[in-house]
Amino acid sequence: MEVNKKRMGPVTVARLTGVMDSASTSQIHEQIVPMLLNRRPLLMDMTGVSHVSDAGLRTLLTVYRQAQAVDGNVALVGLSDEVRTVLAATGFLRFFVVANDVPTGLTALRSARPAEGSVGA
Amino acid sequence: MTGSPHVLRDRIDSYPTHQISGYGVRPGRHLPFGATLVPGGVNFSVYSSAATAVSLVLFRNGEPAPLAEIRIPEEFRIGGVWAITVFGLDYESVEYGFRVWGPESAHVADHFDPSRVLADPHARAISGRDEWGVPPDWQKPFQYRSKLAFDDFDWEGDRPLRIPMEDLVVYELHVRGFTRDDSSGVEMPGTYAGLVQKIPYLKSLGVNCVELMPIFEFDEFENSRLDPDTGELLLNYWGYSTVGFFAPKAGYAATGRFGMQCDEFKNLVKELHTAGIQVVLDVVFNHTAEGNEDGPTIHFRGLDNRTYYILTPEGYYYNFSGTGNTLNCNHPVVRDYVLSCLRYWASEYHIDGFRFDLAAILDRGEDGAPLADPPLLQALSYDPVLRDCLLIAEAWDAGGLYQLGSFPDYGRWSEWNGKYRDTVRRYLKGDVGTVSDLATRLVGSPDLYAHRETVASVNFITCHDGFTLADLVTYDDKHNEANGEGNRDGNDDNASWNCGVEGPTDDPDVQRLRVRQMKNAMLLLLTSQGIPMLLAGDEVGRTQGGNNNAYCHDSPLSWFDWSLVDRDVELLDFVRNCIEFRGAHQVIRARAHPTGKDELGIGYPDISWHGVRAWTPDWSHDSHLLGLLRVGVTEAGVADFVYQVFNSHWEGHDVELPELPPGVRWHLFADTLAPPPGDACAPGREAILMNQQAIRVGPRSAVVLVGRGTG
Repeated sequence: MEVNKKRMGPVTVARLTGVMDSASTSQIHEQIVPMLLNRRPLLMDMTGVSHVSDAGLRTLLTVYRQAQAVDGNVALVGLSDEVRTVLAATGFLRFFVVANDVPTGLTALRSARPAEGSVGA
Repeated sequence: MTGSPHVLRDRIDSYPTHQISGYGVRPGRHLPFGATLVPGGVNFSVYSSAATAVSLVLFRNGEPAPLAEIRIPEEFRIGGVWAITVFGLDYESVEYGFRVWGPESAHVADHFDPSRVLADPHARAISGRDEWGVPPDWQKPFQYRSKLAFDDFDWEGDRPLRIPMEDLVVYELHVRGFTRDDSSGVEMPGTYAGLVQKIPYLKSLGVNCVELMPIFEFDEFENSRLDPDTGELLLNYWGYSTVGFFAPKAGYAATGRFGMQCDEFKNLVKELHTAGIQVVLDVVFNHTAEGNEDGPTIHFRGLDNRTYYILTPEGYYYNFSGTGNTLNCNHPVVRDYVLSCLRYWASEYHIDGFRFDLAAILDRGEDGAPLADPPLLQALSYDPVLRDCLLIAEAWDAGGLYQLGSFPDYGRWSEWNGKYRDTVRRYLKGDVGTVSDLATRLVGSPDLYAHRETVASVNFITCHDGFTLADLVTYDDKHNEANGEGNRDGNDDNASWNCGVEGPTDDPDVQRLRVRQMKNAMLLLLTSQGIPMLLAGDEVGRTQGGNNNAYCHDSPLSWFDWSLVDRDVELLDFVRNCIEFRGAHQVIRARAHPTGKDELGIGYPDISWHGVRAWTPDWSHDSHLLGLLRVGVTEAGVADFVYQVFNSHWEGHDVELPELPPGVRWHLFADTLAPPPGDACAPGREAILMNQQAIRVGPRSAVVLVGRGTG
């Protein structure tokens, strides 16, 4: 799994390439979570992600929860049909701002309100 | 406070003590059973009363040959439990099983077979049937592979709903069949995720509890065969034959091929709860998929045959279930197994209750005889984790044990009331000698449940097993030819009536009568005390073409046809209104059986019986008409009068109405003879009757009135 980071205006864009599974979770976690600490919205460009496993899903959700803790938003962009199906079927999709490509993702993030968590409500 | 508390960052037991087959291992934790993620590794624990050796067999996902086989050292065993912690496993890409050796001089009833790899009876997920209907490779030596499952689902504060039992309206459905048909329009048909998309429909119908036909992992290809006449592939569609008791059926998950069925099913439960709908699971603990002497060895047979099954002295399987074997439920080990399984579903999946298939078997002892105080049922009844769960028994078995009303209930169990079904069916078709029994069914069957409350009775007219409601009024006889058994299978005694023509007809009179009979049935069901249960699709007249045993059909025959929702609006609206009416009148939902006394001190008993003449019920053998007046209070504390008249006579009758207190007038909620919208109005909008003295109740019709102040 490769993670490339860049800034686009107020948004941190992380481009991921490879497979998100148990083998890559700790790497993703270590590289992505610090990006949230500056309280900038995060856009994860998943165009290059071919498969997200159960452990990979959990990493995404952990990222979401970390973002929520700092009132941040996370957008997922470029989901393959398979990844989108998995996220939708397991109910994880609704946690994220989802867009087809980076420009629409950036627009969507701008109009999104801070993450609304209901954990422990 | 100063300083920070000591936080344990590392554990002594997160390091291996041995190396076996290339893996670092250490003596495992003996409890809990099964495979559990622990720091740095995976803990495996399995029980066998007589095994002499056990090895853990690891596979990479889907591969035929093992990745490694780790013989569990004898010194890792405590009692009959073999436990090992293995470090460095990629828990996502590994499948596992056990190889078990028995003593050389094995008991005649032992079935140890170290040539096989056994599934873990506690496996939280099972692979091998990941996508529904994909034909398996039977040459594979290890068909059902145990998998690890995450237990960190984000429930977002969800918990079981604990809706008062008297407020429940149960809806029995098959997860796959509910949305598999193209007409469902969902994105992932036939899956847990597909069902999520139909939650708005369930809400609009008004049901608040779904009872899911078996979702524990089973093999749809068990005993699969081709119909010799049609060539149709017949499957184990219903799934009453469990392979994995702790594992949700992967083939019902859109994500099953990615091994994410646990999350997908949890999301379904969460979404249903968010919509205010409880989840009851239909669970099958009377037998397993291992069948009889000729059946496959999956887990129990090779681990501990004598513990898990009820056997003859010669070692043959007793067959009280009618499916080959009988689980030895009251053996202490098996009892603990069942208990821990249900605790797992209640706590890990937030399940609200369980319906036990052929539950009478659960009170049979190790010799097969029923026990007066069966330990399993006692344990379930008093279990702390299960305290708020519905426990519903199908209080009979295939071995002739029939315990309706006498099932050991510990004040805790409800029962599928088969007598309700039979009485109401016979009454509706016009049989004589049914009116007094009908009266008993309408008030929660106090003959069966006098020492309990009305919620002990789960009332139903139809369920998955038997005719659908539409078929009940369309067929005199079953038509099970498509099952490939020459129409010999299925129940012959259906108490059904075809309304004059067998099967579909263009005759408008017959069609109208059938719709009316369905409305009569729904009105009866939804205005009876006890917990009503509907079979999915009956609210829109779903047919199975007269097949009353569709267990093997994964086809439009058994799927929910969603085009009916647009086509059969009349019945659907009627059912919706009836459900809402039930919700608006707690006198119908009352937990207590009525006493016949003037409980409110307003001059009316809480229940009174009537005939064509008010206060004069006709209990004679030939009677077809029954009126009952329920008197209670609304939730607002106002006196509530609900008058129900059922007429299964082929002629209409002018029925005198009981007189109401001053200022209260009869208003019409439902008249099944009337065309819509007059058949049932929106509750609260009942129109006042012009004639307050009498009402015409049409042939084979029912009316329901409410007494309300006029202002």
